[in-house]
Amino acid sequence: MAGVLTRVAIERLAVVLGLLLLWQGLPLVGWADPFFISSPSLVGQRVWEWIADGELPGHVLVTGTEALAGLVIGAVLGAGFGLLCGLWATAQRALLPLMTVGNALPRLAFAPLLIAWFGFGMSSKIALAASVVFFFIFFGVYSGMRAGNQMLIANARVMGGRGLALLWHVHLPQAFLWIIAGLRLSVGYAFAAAVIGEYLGADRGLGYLIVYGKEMLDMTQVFAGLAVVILIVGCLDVGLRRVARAGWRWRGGEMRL
Amino acid sequence: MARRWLGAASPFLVVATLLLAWDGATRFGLADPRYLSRPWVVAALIWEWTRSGYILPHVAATFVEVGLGYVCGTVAGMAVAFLFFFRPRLAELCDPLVVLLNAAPRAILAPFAVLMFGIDLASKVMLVTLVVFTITLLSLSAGLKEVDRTIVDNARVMGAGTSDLTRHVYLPAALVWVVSAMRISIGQAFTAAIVCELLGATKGLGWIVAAGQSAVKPDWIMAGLFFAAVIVVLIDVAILAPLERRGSHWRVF
Repeated sequence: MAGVLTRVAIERLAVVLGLLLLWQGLPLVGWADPFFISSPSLVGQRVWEWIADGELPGHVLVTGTEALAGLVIGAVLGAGFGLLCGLWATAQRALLPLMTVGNALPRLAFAPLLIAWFGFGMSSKIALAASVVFFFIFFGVYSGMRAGNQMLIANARVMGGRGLALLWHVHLPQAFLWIIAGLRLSVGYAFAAAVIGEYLGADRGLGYLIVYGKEMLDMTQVFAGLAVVILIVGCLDVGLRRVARAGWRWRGGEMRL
Repeated sequence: MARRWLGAASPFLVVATLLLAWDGATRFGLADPRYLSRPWVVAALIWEWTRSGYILPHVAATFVEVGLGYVCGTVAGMAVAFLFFFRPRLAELCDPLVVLLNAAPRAILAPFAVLMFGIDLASKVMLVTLVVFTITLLSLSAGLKEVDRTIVDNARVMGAGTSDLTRHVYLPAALVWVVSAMRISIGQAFTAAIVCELLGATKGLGWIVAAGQSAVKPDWIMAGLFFAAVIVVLIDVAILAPLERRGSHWRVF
C-alpha cells in the first residue's frame, strides 16, 4: 500500500514539475510573452524578496486578521440565528425565506457597498467576510438540527430533556458535523472575501499587493500574491479536513470528503 | 387563520422593519446619508433606470458574459469529467491540479484575468468558464461514480459498448448532476463576472457599481447590486430550482 502511494505521489509530483517547466520554458522557445505569463522562477524570486525584506508577514497578518475576525463574527452570528430558527418556529417562518434569498445573493460582489459603509480600513473586509461566513454556518446549524434524528429528540423530550440540556446533549452533537462542514467551506471564503475587499479599496494586505501588481501591469506580482493566498488557504483546508475526519471518528461515523 | 396570514407576511415585516430602521438612521443622524444613501433615493433610482431602459445594456452585458462562460465551462467540465471517468490513471495524475483549482473561490483570480485578457468580454468569460468548469467537473466526477453498477452491468451483458453506455446510461445520469452543479455555480458565476467588471470594464452591472464607488454615489452601488441580486435570485428560484426538482424525478439510475 505504502509503495503504491509513494509511486502515485512521485508521478503527481512529476506532472506538477512538468507543467512548471513548461511554464518556464514557453517564453524561451518564443511561444509566449513573459510579460503576460511571467515565469515560476520570477514568481519564486518575488515571493523570496517579500520574505527577505520583511514585507510579507505584515500583509499576511492584515489579510489573516480580517479573514479570522470575519470568520469568528460570522460563525457566532450564524450559529445564533441557526439555533433560533431551529428551535423557534415563529423565527423560522419569518427568517428562513430571507436567509434563503440571502444565501443565493452574489455576496462577494457586495464589497464596494461594504467599503462605502465601513470605509477603507479593515472593518469593511471583516464585515464582508462575516456576511459570507454567516450564511454557511446558519445553514450548517439549521440543517444539522433539521436533519437530526427526530425519534432521538422525541425520546429525549419524553425522558424530560428540555431547554439547555436538550440543546447541549441532543441538538448540538447532531449538528456538529454540519457545523464542521460549514466551517471548512467558510475558511476559503473568508480569505477570498478579505482579498476581494482589499482589491476594491485598501492600502495593506495580500489583496492590495495583487491589485497593485495589476495596476502596474506586473504579472509576476499578481501571480506571487495569488500563490501566497492559495498556499495559505490550501494549508488551512488540509488542516481542517484532518479535524473534520477526527470529528467523524469521534462521532463513530465514516466520512467521505 | 389570522396567525397563518401573519406567518406568511412575517418575512416581509422583517424587511419592512429593516428598511424603516435604515430610513430612520439616516433621518435622525445616526448614519450619514452621503455613505448610506436612503431607501427611497435608491428605489427612485431603480425605478428611473428601469423606466428609461438605462440599465438594460448593462444587464445584457453581464448576462452575455455569464452565458458564454456557462456554456464553455459546462461543456469543458463535462468533457474532462468523462475523460477522467474512463481514464482513471489520468484522473489520478491530475488530482493535484484539481485540488489547486478548488483551493480558493475562483473570484480572487479576477485581477489575473483582467491583466491577461483585457477589460473586454474575454476576461469575464474566461473567469466564469473557470468557475463553472471546476464545479461541473467536481460534481459530475462524484456523480458518475454513483451510477448504479447493476444498470451498467446489465447494459454490458446486453451488448452495450462504451459509446452506448455513455449515450444511454452515463449522459442521462450526468444531466441531473450538471443541473445541480448549475444551481451551485450560478451565484459564483455572477460573482466572478461582477468582481471582474469591478476591476476593469466599460459596461455591465459591475461597472455601474464601480462607477458608483469611484464617484462616491452609494445609491448607484446599491441600485446596481439590487439588479444583480434580483437576477441571480430569479434565475435560482424560477428556473434552476424547478429544473432540479424535475431532475430528481428523472433520477432513475
